[in-house]
Amino acid sequence: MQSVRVLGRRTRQYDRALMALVFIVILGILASFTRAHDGAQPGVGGHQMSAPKRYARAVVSYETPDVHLIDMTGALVPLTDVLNYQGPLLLQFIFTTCPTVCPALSGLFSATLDRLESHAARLRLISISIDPEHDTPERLRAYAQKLKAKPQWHFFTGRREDIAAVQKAFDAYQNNKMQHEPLTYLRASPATSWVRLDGFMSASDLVAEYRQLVSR
Amino acid sequence: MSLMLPRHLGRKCRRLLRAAVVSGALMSAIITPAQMASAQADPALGKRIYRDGLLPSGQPMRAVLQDDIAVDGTHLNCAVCHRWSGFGATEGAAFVPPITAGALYHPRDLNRADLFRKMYQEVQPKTRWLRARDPRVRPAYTDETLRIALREGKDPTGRALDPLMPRYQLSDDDIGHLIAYLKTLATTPAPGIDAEVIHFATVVTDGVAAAQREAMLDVMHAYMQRKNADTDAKRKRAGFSLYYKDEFVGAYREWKLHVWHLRGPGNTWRAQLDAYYRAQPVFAMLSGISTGMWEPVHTFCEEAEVPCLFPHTPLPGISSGGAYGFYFSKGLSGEAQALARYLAATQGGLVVQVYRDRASGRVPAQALHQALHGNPNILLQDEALSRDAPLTAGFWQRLAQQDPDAVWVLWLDAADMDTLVTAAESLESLPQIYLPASLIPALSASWPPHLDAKLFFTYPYTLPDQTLPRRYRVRAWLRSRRLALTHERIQLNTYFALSIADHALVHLVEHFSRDYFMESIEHETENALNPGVYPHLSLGPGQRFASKGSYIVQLSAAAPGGLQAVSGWIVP
Repeated sequence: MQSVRVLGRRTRQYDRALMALVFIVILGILASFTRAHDGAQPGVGGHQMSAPKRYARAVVSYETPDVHLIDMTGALVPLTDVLNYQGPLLLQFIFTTCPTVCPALSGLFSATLDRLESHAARLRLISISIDPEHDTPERLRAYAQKLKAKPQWHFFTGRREDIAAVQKAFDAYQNNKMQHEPLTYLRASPATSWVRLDGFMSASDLVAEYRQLVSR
Repeated sequence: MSLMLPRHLGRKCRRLLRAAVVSGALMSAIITPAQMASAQADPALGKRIYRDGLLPSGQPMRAVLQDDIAVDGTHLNCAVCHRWSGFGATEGAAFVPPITAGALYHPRDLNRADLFRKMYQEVQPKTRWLRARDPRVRPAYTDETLRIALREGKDPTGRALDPLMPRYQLSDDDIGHLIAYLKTLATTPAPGIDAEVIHFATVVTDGVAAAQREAMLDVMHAYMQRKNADTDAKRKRAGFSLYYKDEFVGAYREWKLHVWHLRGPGNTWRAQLDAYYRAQPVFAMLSGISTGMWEPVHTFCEEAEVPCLFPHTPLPGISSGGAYGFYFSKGLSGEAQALARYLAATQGGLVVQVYRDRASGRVPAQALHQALHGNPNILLQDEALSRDAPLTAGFWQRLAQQDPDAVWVLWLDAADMDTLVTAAESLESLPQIYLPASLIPALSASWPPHLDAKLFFTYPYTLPDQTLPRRYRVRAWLRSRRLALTHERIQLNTYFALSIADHALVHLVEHFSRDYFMESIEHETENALNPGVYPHLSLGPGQRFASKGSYIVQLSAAAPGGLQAVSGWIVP
């Protein structure tokens, strides 16, 4: 606030000086844009202007709670079985009527799977509904169909208290699903820790995260 | 043109910048007509793009979000995030700004009352918390800058929009239609509200016992009296020091309740509702009570686009679907669906359902048929009785002899239970009998306790030994208003209907749009407002039944409240 009051008393000379400064800054920005654009020609990688990551990344260990999920056929499956899948696993929490966050999350899974499919036959994607009483197996099937989800992508619902336990175990619980956050989890195998990505990202971001994960 | 610019720039400097922006706007105004004249812009086609993501050709529109994620319009369209109202929403980490005509075609207005909610009334992660405190000003959109925003994701200042905003692949014609629709969003004031008063209606139908009706109306009157006294006090003191900065004065309205009595047969209700509505349009309908059907009221709500919140009815409008009717549960249909799940898991063979030829019999009977359809282990047979035929003990004896191994499902009324109680002792082998929760009071009073094991009830409520904290608060409120707790479910549920409306209205601030109101209810229902008649209330976009399951219980003198659950919470 200090600076506002001082600037408020500027004279005309100062104004002119300020305008000149603004022009110089604008020119500078334009110049740097041009350079960045030159650097971003197809096939030219590794330039200095790479955008900052939009998401936060953490490596974490979670204890799997002893609960059951319900799969798209309506069958009860132990969560440990779901998470014990031997290949690489990607996991998200979604719900089928979710307005903004889930279309982006599911879109991310869809696009990532499209890109990785031929390279990662063993990859498995899991979306767990956090609105289990509404998202019946039937609704999950319809949702998967709308997304044209490939067979490697599995959707689960469950009993309300079980779903809450899973979210709590993954540090993702909000007591109102409308406040849920964009989280994506990855792990290479049941023996490794989870990588927790918090935020929205592009499919290339997630593909890069996945490659980094499986190359280790 | 009013343009908000940082105050710390000198006056001349600001003038120069403003001139630059204005000339930019003029330039685009010159370009626009030539580009936009290519087709007749049709808001109806725009609405389809907005709500369904379908282009005039019927094909889904296409878009890219987060730089490289291709999505199609059926999965993601304007309405998914900005909602029908156009007022947007906040959801955890995502902030979706309003795109109503008033919002787009005006410079972004840093209205403190609107920002208040984002800043102080929502749980937010840090990124969102920062974003709310770093609001970006921008000049008004023009058709041309809007076209750029939709396709390239740039606002009128040239800044990139959030990567969550899809970049849409739309032709000039498509954009013309869409813009024509956006220009209609939230432009007409909602009916039933003016600068002073917001009108609400509630419906009472013939046949509702006076005590039940009064239990509901007393809560409504008491709530509104309290609400209006509170608003009055806030308005009065707003002009005085200490309170003179009240940002919400413009949002305060007096609540006025209109009781709409519906008389005579159901097929005349619609005309009565229309007449009431013509005489006094209302912003929304709150609570309401009916013993039998609700369908005509539901249809009215849908067609007049009046939000109708949480009436007491065993037969909510389910068959016709819809957007404007909100219900606690699916009523008898929901009980039948949960029962089907239970029967499928525990029974095999013949199930006989007895019902009368009226809505409260036909509707659940049909729901049970649908839910058991295709089940290879259960054969469901109907025993349909005429509307008013008297039942005798002989009827039950005949039914028991007919198929001694069958179990019974009875969609009947309390008055029919007397003969069943009489017959029960004399029957050689009494089958298992399944009944709706509404018959518990009648049977727990008269059923011979040594036969308790034969009766099973669907029970879509919180079990007697589970208590939610808010129940105590609402009961205390009722006591403080000198309202005796005579019909607890009706009273608590009525209180919920009023408090959720109250809560949602606070979130609208001065944007009194019915769609926005309903979207706010969808968001808020899961918050801590549940007074505990149902174990859990939750909605989401497009969801209209807040409680979704049922228990199966038996009478038991030893159990708390005389009821013993024999199943978990069944969600069909």
